[in-house]
Parts: sequence; structure tokens; C-alpha cells
Amino acid sequence: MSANSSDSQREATSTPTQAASTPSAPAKAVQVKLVLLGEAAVGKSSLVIRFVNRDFQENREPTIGAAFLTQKCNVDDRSIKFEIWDTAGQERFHSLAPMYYRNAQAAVVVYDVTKAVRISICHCLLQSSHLRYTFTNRDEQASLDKAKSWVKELQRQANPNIVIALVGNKLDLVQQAEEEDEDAEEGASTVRQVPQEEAAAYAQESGLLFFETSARTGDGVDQVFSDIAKSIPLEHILASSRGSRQSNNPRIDLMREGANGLRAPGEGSSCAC
Amino acid sequence: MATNLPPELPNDCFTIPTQVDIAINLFWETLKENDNFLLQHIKARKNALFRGMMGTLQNVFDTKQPPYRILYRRGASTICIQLAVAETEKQIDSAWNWVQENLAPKVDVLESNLEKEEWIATKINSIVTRTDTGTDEVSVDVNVRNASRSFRQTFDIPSSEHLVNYYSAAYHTSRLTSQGWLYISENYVAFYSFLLGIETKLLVELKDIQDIKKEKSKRGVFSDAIKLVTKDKQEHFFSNLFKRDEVYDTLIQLTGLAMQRLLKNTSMGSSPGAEIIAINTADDMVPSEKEIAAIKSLPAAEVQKLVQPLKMNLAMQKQNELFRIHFRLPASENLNYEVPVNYIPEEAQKQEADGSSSPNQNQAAAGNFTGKLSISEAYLTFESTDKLKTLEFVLPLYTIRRVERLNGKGQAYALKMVTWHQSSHVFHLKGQNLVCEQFCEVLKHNLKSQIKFMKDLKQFLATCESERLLATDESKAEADIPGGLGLKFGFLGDPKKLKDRSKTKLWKQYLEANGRNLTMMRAVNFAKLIRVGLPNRLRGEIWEACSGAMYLRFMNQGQFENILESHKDKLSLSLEEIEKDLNRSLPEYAAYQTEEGINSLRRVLTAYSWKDPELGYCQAMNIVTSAILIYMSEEQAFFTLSILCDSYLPGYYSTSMYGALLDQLIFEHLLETTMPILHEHFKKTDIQLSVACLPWFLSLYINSMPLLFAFRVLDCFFMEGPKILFQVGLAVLKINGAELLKATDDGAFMHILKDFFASLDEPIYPNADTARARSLTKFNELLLVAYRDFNLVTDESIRQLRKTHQLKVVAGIESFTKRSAIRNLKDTANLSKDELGVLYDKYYNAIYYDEKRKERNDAKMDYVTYERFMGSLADWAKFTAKDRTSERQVQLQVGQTFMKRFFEYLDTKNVSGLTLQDVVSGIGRIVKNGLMEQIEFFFSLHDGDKDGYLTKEEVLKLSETLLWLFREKGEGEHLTGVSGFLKHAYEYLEPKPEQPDSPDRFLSTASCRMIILADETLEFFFDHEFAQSFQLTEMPIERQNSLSREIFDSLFTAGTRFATGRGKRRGLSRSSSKTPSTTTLSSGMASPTSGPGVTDSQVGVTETDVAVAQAETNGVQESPKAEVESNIPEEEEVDDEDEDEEDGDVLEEVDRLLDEFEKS
Repeated sequence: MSANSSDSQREATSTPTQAASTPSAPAKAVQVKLVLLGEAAVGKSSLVIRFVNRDFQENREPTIGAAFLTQKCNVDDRSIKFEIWDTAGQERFHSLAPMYYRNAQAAVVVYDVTKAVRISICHCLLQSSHLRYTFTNRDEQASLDKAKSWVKELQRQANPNIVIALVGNKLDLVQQAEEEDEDAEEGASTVRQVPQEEAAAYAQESGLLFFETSARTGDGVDQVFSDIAKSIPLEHILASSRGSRQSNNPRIDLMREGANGLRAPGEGSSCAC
Repeated sequence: MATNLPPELPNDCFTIPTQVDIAINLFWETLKENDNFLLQHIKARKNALFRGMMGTLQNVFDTKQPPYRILYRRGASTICIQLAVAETEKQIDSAWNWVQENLAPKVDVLESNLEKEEWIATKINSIVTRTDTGTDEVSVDVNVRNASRSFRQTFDIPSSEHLVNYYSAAYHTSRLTSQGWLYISENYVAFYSFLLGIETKLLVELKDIQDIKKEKSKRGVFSDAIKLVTKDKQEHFFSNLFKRDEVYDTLIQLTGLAMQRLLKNTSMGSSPGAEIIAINTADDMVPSEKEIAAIKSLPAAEVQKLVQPLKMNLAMQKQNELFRIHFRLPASENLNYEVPVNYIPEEAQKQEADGSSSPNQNQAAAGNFTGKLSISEAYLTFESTDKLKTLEFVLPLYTIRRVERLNGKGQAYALKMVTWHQSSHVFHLKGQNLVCEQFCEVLKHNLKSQIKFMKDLKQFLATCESERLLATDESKAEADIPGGLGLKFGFLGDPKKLKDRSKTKLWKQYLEANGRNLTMMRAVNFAKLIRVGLPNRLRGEIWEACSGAMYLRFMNQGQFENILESHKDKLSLSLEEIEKDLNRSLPEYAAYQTEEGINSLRRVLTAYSWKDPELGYCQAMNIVTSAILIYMSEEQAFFTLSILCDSYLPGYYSTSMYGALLDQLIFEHLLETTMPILHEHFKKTDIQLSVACLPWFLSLYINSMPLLFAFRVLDCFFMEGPKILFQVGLAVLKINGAELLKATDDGAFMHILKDFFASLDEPIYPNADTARARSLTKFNELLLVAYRDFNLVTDESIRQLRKTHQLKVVAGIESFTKRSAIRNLKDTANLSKDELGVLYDKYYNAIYYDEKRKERNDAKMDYVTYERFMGSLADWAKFTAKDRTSERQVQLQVGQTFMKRFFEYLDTKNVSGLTLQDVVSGIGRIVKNGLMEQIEFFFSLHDGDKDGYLTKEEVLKLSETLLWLFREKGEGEHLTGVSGFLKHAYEYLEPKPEQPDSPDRFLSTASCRMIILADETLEFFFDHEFAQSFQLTEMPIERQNSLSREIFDSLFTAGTRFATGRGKRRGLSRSSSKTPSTTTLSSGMASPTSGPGVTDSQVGVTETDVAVAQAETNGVQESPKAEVESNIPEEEEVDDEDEDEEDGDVLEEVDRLLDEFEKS
């Protein structure tokens, strides 16, 4: 192993044509900034790699700060070039997030369908070597809850026209369990911890796009991005991309303003909590 | 002596006896006197000039004299001794009485004047030191003592606050420049000036400072000014600072401490690495009244922090810190002594021994080094002072086998030390005899205390690769030294291409000549050897030795295993986070595809998270750790990680990641100074550096560069310190400068850098003639540029920049934390954003000053802190000095009981601690309570058994509580209301319906309600007054003023209005817009004098006007007026015609107030 493999994995704009997109690309692609948010290890990076490189890697290094990738996507008569910011998931990186979601036109908020929502104790026994852990899974760790708080933050602090997609990842684990335990009555339900209906209802209520995906198998991944591409108010972006980028959205400076300089245009000047 | 003092000994009156001459003090009038004592009062009352002069004099000498004083008269002379001072007549009277009772009779008995004086001085001294233990009042320096006293009196600061130093300075507002005193204490910076009638008063909390800048004073000529910027964007400009740099350093140091404390708070008390324990709801966790009393009665000294950063202490701390950082010594070390020496290394000693008879000639021999020898508790360090011949080393005292004094060579103090490895070091001490003598004493003492650790050496050295490398006997050379995973799973890269063999050989020579592991020196070619890349097997050990992790490991042998053992079955949030990332750390490396590698990584990360639970685990630590584990054993990696987190990269991996953010800010600053064009380009195109650069710093380039190169960077990093990260980063930008100038968005920016890193192994001169030139890669270029072009970036400069920039970062983190904390509140109790903001600020402000939190480290507010919090929120909850007087003792108890019940009400989870959520929900509910709910609330607080009925005692308690709440309202309708309530409540006592025959009588909710509604005052209280007593809007902090002060302030206001109405337009209109309802004069005036910061300019303004006004009324047209007027722009002089009518009224008012003043 010589170089850092993840670096080469993050090659961008590699495959120009996508399954979900029509091959006849219009002349000029509209750039859309998309940010991925969600708890650590729910598969944000894997989701992007699947979309950009048609690839899946079992143990990806955690993202530090954020990774940047681009991918073109042609839907209907539109050609969109996604600039994807894949952010770090650990809680303490949270304060950096505004740096990445500023000016974003789309956000994908990812959670893990196999992570409990409100189950107080989740046994996660790792019998590797002599160490054996049992984890207490507290409310705030549940990945859907974390996703909800991201949505809340985006709706308050990001671009007001932002298109948000809620994505439940790791569907393959559920499907796999379902296949294995076809006879067993409760097989699937122990693996799946977030019922589809619950998440869908929440998405509906909050005005989000909703998907369940598997980055491993690729199920539903392209759908996420092509649906986002369809929902983006392109006219709005085209009209405002030049202007707003420079003038409307003040440069936010993480240090000086502590990432709080971000203010959606048109919103009041008081602190946006 | 102290025991027979009567209980009514007035506090805070007595001063350390100081001499005054009453002959020149014309401003005092004597109110009472007898043979030996005088009670005097300041005369200056109606005369503004007098008052102004008085204040000016006092200010010049930095003694703010309270208006009353007691003097002891020394016989017939005019020389007196001041014994006590006071702000009010009442206070001074009680002191006077005490003096009459206790001192006077005994003084009369004594015969000689000298005897009398001595006796009185001793007596008063003992009182002062008794009441002021632990404060600056007992400071040895009489100036500090006086300054401290006037500082605390002027600003109403508790006596536990230590003054660090004070400086003469000028403070600039937009219209005035006033000369006065700048005080710096542990938590505040303050300015006070009272010059010719103009008072300027400024108090800033250190934790609220966001930036400190050195400036040139107004005309830009003198570098004697400092500008402070606070978090609310107020700027304060001070000049005429003769010791500007000292002030600056002190402020930087103190604010640094404040920031650390603040950061601890903003982490919201979460300790991700702390063990998860089931929440204990046991009742016994509520502190009993007794316990609270016990906590409070602790002597101040015990509650105070261990470190008292007084000026000397601060200077010492700083010196020790520099010393430790320079030699990478553990935090336990302090610089004990240092002495100039001549160092003669082993080789030179041999030459010397080889036959020259004249040692003095040899002194100048090439092999010698002049330098400085320093000693700490466990280490001896040498640093050459000759710029051309550099040598640096650390000799741990526990490695020194023998020390002998060399005699007879013309050198009085020549010491020869022989280390464990039999290498000998000779030092010729060059200082004065006394200095050398003392140094030897310290050395002897410290050697003795370290000798016991020498026995651990053998075992320790068995873990060092260098021992194996240099071993002469076979068995040792073959020994199994614990090392990194690379030993089993292979190192990266082709050893041949890396010239691993020849590098190892070079290092062998180096170590033989210059000492190994614990005693390795940094000689001339040390840096060079490291910059070409370390050989695989030695890499871990050199890293460890360079960074000082080796000392840490030696001094804490077994700690790593012990931590793992003692936390074997425990759980924490961090462990879960670590578990997620174990399979995702350098997954390409063979070892991390096996259990063995994963387990190593788990053990190191887990042990660290237990060692520093506040930090726990941060992503990127897994990458760094997995990288260094290739070259280091688990134990080595563990201590190296400690060094990284604690001293190389402080705050990088903390929960707020402030260190990483801080370094980004510094990186940007360095870019701006070194490559302004590029910086400007980024600014123009809105490209954010941090999106690309943050990961470089966080993971030390390990996942940005090809690993092989990343290790080369690490080699330099461990040797040189964090500056390398900046140098390499700047070099990356510089090399790609031309390309980067074409980039117009973050995306393009990222691509250029990514491509560059991927091409690091490409040759720079692929078509060069020589093979050597062809073999140079882009990485070589990168290192070259880093070292050559950015050599101005030093570790020292980085450290300085970190200190000066950290204030901004903390401010940013704070506001982020505040917003997300408020956003994440589950229940906002219908409070507005602003109200929540105020509650948040007050909550964390109270917690900030909670000293005990340092050890406790939980997010909750305990009862004692809660009292302070409530005091900042509602006036009635403030326990003033008046409340603590003996006459209010009973009331105080009532109040405390109520406060405690209130606490329990807020403490819904019954864990004797309040979270922000508890406070928001509880206070929010009360503030929004309607009349009936408020009555209900009070009723239930006093209803011990919660049965809906109050017993007779409880009714009494309720009315006592009400009385306590009304204690500052005077004796009017509130008192009548409460007594009416009590009377009626007793009339309405009835048996409970379910026990009609019981003799016990109770008050039901319904009757209670009815009684209250019948009284207008009480109804108003429950309907509005109580809810409104909580100050949930931004307001300058109220300050307690003494009575005379208030009247004087009122005078000022009146004068201001009189003074051609301009106060109305400027000073007053502004202040009244801030404080609602300025109906009465006194309340209207309370605010401008009270708040620090915001209102101070107004103080200056209004009082300027007053001086003018008073000067006019008194017909005094002299200097003060001229002086003052010169500072007022002309436009302000325009009179309003319709003011004339009002003038009459105002004059009357002034008279009335003066009368009142006299009466009081």
C-alpha cells in the first residue's frame, strides 16, 4: 500500500453518464451545491462514492472535516453538475458544518435504518478478542433523531430554498436479514430499527424528499440524486447564482464569526437559533 | 485577642494603619473627637471645585477616600494614623463606638505615646488580617494593598478577587481622554479616573474580551497604547501606558486562562469519555441545609483556586511554561535554577586529558560550548548560547550515576557528571560564587529525590530500540524490543529506495557520539538527519525522544496498562465512537485488516479516552494513532498521543475543536502576511481555506498525502513542533500559487490541491542530467520551500499567535454553542429568542464563576451557583451586604429557605443540579404565570405535604417569605398587605372537610386566593410584579449603590437637566431609552453609573455637564470649567429657549436633594 487509497477513491467527475440520467446532455450544466449531513458512520461517504464512482468499499476512513466530489447528472432536459460536500459525522465536527452548508441548494440528511430510535439499550456485543462491550444507546444518539436536528438546523439557518432529502441508508442489512429469516417471524424487525412509515411520515410533515437506500448494493442511490435534480428550482439558481453568491450571502468566516455569520438572505438580523 | 471582640465589630471599616497629616488636609471636618481619636467627614459638598480637587488628588495617589474616617491622633502633632474608613455615617459610627469601647480605655492606661501607637497598630492590624484572610489586604506590598482596596471599593468587587497589578493609564472615549488607573485583576480589567469633577469608570470582564491589540497612541507616535475589543463589539482604547508590553502580556495571559475556563463551560459539561452510569435519582443527593451552610462557611482561602495568579506568580508560570516547552519536559517540571556554564563534551575532555597542561587554553578549544545550564525537579538541561555552535540536551537526573567536583584546575566550580551509559559531561560553572553554590545545592537536593527512579531505568531501556542497535553483546542485539506493528506487518515503501540501511548506520554513529534515548542530544547534524527521513526501526523511538513523550513514559511506567485494567468493563460514549472507526483507520495497511492490529488501535484509543475523558475521542485521532502505531509500541503511542493532545496540538481534538479552528485562523493570518495576493484572491472569490486545510492539520497530513511522505512530515513535526504543519501548508499553497489564482470556487481549489498531493512522488526535473537531480521529487521541493521560504514561522511565533488569536475563536465557539444550545431546548416555555438568550447568558455566567466546577465537571448548576444566578436575574434574590447584617439575620434565613424551595421546584429531576433546560422551563413558566397560577405556585411552595392546605406555621412562613421579597420596598403598602394577609389568613383557618372534627385548622387554596385578591398590593404582586421581577431583557448589570452615592447621583442628574437641557438630548435621553421607566430621579440615574462598558461613556458625559452646571451655580468660573468645556464640542453649547422655565423647578429640586443629602 503506497498512497492513500481513499484519495484516489475520491476522484471526481469520473463517470459522465449515469444510469439515472439521459445520455443526451444539454450544453451547459447548472452547478448545484449539495451537502451531506448525518451522524457518524451512517454511510454518507459510501453513498456519495456509490453515486460518483459506482463503487463500494467496506471500511472507509472516516471523513475528517469534509470531502469534496463532483458528479454530473442529466434529468429530463436539465443537466446538473453536483458539487458534493461530504461532511464529517462526529458530533464535535458539528460546529464546522455551517462552513459547508452555506450557499448549498440541496442537502442530503442521512440516517441509518438499523439504528434504534428510542430503544434504551441496544446490545452491541463485540466479541473480538477479550474485549466485550455493551452500549447504552441514548436518545440523542439515535441516527434519525440526529437527522431530525440537522433538518431543523438547515431549515432555520441554511439557504431558504434548500431542497432537503432524508435518506435512510443500510437498507441491505434489513433485506439480508429478511431473506435469512424468512421463516422467523420477527427476523426483520430486529435489524430494522427505524420503520419506513415513521420516517416517511416525518419527511412528509417537514416537506422533505424521502428515500431508503443501500450504498452497498446501490439500491435507490441514483434515485436520491435524480429526484433532487428534479426538485431544484433551477430558474432560481440561474437567476441568483451570479448575484447571490457574491453579494447576498455574506462570506461567513468560521473564526471571526464563529460560524454564525451565516444568515439566509432575507432573514432578519437577529441570531438565528 | 480576637475572641473578646464584640459581635458588632463593623466589617470592612478598619484599614491597615496608615499615616496622614491633618495639617494639609483642609477638606476634612471633624465630627467627633476625644483625647486620642478623631472622626472626620469630607467637607466638599456643595462646592464642585472642592469636590473635583479632592477627587483629583485622591486619584493621583490612587486612594479613593471614602467620605468618613477615624484617626488616631499622635499627641499634639498634626500627624495622625488612619484606622478606619467608611462610606456611610452609620458604619463609621459603629466603628467609632467600637473604638470608644475597646481601644480608648486601654490607650488611656498606656503611658508613652510610642507605646500607645504600637498597641493600636497591632490591634488594628490583627483585625484587618482577621477579616481579610486570603485577600490582597494582607499583601506585603502596601501599594498593592491600597490599590486593591480602592479597586474593590470603586467597582464593588468581592474581596476574594485578587488584583494582579495596576498601571497609570489614559482612557479615551470619543470625546474625552481621562488620566487614571488601569487595574487588572484575575477576572476583570478596570479603569477609574476622577479628575476635576469628571468621573470615568469602566469595568470589563476578562472573559468578555475578544481581542487585544497593541496600538500607537492618538498621534501615532508613541507605542504606548492598547485597544480592547469586547464580544459586544465595544472598543476601549488606553494609552500612556509606560509598561505597555507588560500590560499586554499580562492581559493575554489572563484572558488565556479565562478562555480555558470558558471553553470548559461551552463543552456543555459533556464528557464523552466519561463512564456511563445510570442516573442516580436518590434523594440523598440534595444537599441538606447544613451542608450548604458548611460549603458557604468555608474560609475564602479554601474555596479559592490553588493557583493565585498574582503578578509574580504569572511571571513565574510563564517562565516555567517556556522552559518546559523548549525542552519538551513534562508538565510537572518547573525551572528551579539556572547558571551560565562552559560545557565540555566527552571528546574534548579526552583531548584535555591527553596532555595539555594548561587547561585555560583548552577552554577555547573547538569542542567546548558556552551556554546555560538549567535545572528542574527531575531534569538538567543545557542550551548553547553561541548561535554558530548549537547544542541542546536534556539530562534526566535519574540517568546520572555520579557527580563529582573537579578540583585544581583553576575552576572553582567544575562538575563532572557520568550518566547511566557511562558518558561523562563536564560543566564549568561561570556565575558568581553564590550563584554556583546555590545551583549545586539545588542539584544535590534534586538528585537525591530522583535517585530512587534510577532502578526503573534498566527495565525502561529494555524497551528502547537504540539500546538494541548499540548493543555490543549478541544477546542484547538479538533482544526482542517491543515496537510498532511494522515489525510484523512490514514497513511502508521499499527499504532499498529509502536507503534504510545507510540511514540506520548514520544514526548508530550519531547516537554513539551524542547519547541515546533519554539522554540524546540535539547536536548540529541532528536536524539534518531527521529531515532526510528516519530509518524504519528507529523512527518510533526518535519521535518519542523528540517530542518528550519518552520522559512522560519513563515517569509513568505502567500507567497505560493500569488504565486499561481499571476500566476493563466500563462503557462510555467515546468507546462507542472509537468502535465505529476501528475498521476505518488506514484500512489499506495489512495490520488493520487483522484482529491484532485492530486491538492495538483499540487499546491505545480507549486508554487515552479514559485518561482524558473530557476529550474522549475525536475522529482523526484514529488516523494519527493508526499511523504512529506502525512505528511505535502501544505504550509509546499512548504517551505520544498525550503529548500531541496536551502540548503540540492543544484543543485540536477537544469537543469544541477550538485548537484546530484557532490554527486555521493563524494559518490564514500567515497566508495574509506571507502571500497577500493569494490571500486577497481567496477573499475575492469567497474561497474558504479551511475547507481544504482543516483536515491537513487535524490528521497531520496523514490522509492528505501519500503515507510515505506523510511520515517524513511527521519526522519533522515531532522534531520541530507544530510550526511544521504551517510551513508545509504554506509551501503547498505557494507551489500551487499560479494555479490557485485561477481557481474561482471551492471546488476548483480542492481539485488543484488534491492533484498536487497525488503527484508528490513525481520528479521535478525528469530530464535532468544527473541521477541525483532526477531523483528529486515534488515532495523534496515541498520540504525545501517549507523550510526555506517560511523559516520565519517559528514555534515561538506560533505559540504567540495562538495566544493572541484564541480570544476570537472562543468568542465564535461560544456563540455557536449558545445558538445550538438554545435551538436544542426541548421546551422553550414560550420565551422569546432574546429572553432565552438572556437566560442562557446568565446561567453560564454564574457557572463561569463557580470555582468548584473545575473539579466536578458536570453540566449542572449546584445550589450555591444557583443563588448567584438568581441574584443576577431578580433583584429580590440578591443577597446584599445589608442582608447579611445581624439585624436581618432572621429574614436572611427566610430568604434562603424560599430560595431553596425555589431551587427544588426548578430541580424537577431531583438531582440537586439544574440544567439550562430546567431553568428555562421553570423560570419560563413562572414568568408567564397568570394571577391564579402564581398564587398557586406560592401556595404549593409552602405546602410541605402538598395536600392543598397550609398549616398555621406554613401560613406564617408564606407571609414571612412575602415580607422578605418586599424587603427593599420600604414600609408602605407592601407591609400593610402582608400583615393584612396574615390577619385574614388566621381568620379563615378551618378544619379540613374530610376531618371536620379535628382540632387542627388549615388554610385552603381557595381562601388563600380570596384573601390575596382582596388586597390590591398583593394582587398586583401576584399578577405582574413577581413575574416582572425576572430581568429577561438585555440590560446593563445593576449595581448596588450606597445611599449617599445615589443622592449624589441624583444631584448629578438634576444638574444635568439644569445644564441647558443638553443632558436631555444626549446623556439622559440615551440612558432613559435603555432603562425603562425613569420616572423618579434616583432610579433614572441608577443605571448610568451602574453598568460596566455600555454606559460608561454616558457617565463621562453626564458628569461633565454636571461639573459645568455646578460651576455655574456656584459662580466659580475657574479652571474646572475651562478644562471641561474644552472637551465639549461647540454645538452642545446651544441653549434651548424653553428650558428657561424649567430651570426654576430644577433648582428647587437640587436644593431639596441637597437637604436630603445633609440629613443622611
